Amino acid sequence: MDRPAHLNESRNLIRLAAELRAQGHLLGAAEFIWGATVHAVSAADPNHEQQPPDRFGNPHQSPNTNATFLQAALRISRQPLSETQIRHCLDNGQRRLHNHFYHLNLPSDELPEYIAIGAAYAQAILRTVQIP
Amino acid sequence: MLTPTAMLDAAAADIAAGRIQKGAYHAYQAAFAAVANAAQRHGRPCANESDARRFVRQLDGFPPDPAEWNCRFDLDGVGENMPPLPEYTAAFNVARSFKEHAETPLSFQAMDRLRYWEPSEYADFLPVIRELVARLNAAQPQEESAWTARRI
Repeated sequence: MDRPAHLNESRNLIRLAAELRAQGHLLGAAEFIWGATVHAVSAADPNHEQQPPDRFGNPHQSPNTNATFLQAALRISRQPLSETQIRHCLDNGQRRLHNHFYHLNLPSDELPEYIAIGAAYAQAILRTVQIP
Repeated sequence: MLTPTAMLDAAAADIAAGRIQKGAYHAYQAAFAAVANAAQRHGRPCANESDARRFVRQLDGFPPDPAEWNCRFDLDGVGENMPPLPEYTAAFNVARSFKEHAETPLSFQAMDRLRYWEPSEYADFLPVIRELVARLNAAQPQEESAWTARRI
């Protein structure tokens, strides 16, 4: 997908996460926040459309691994996050929220915190996206 | 008793020498000690990890009762009235990742690369703890919560 499509999907996922969060569906909200984060980084990465295809042949691999996420996030030109903050975002999003989606391993009194943190970082990235 | 900075130096040395789980535990201990020192300066209890989490949440302005936590959504995308990024809590959670990694056998970690870092990544995440330790010297708890208002 190209950057405008990622921008659109990130905004959609934020909106859906807000609705799910309001309805108390935390598992769905958590996963959508991680998805919104990855799409926001793709949209904000000025080199996204030069990225290689993924292993299924889809063009422009999205940055959903530690290494690709960091590389793409560090390329953002109006950088909203320090490298340390990018690592917060990655640890919170991929290792906590996305992992929870598969394993349900976050305690119920901690999940709202991770969702709130993830939403804050995703939106900080999203606000910097500039597509000519 | 080592200072948090000295503990972090020990963590870095262990990780560089390949003793990654020992280093990971030192990294968590450094973060916990720095949080405990800051909490003590503000007259807050910090005897264990639960106390430490409660204190870092106060630094970011999260309300004490998790039932009151809410996301702040910025659906118009302009960022007005958004609270600062919850960096203390996020960084302490990275410290908890170090602890979790220290306590999980490496053979188990190798089967779950989504959750656990590659051995080379331990050193990459150490600056998160170093920055947390440094920032805690000037940290102030926030009594007014920025995270309870609902904007949907």
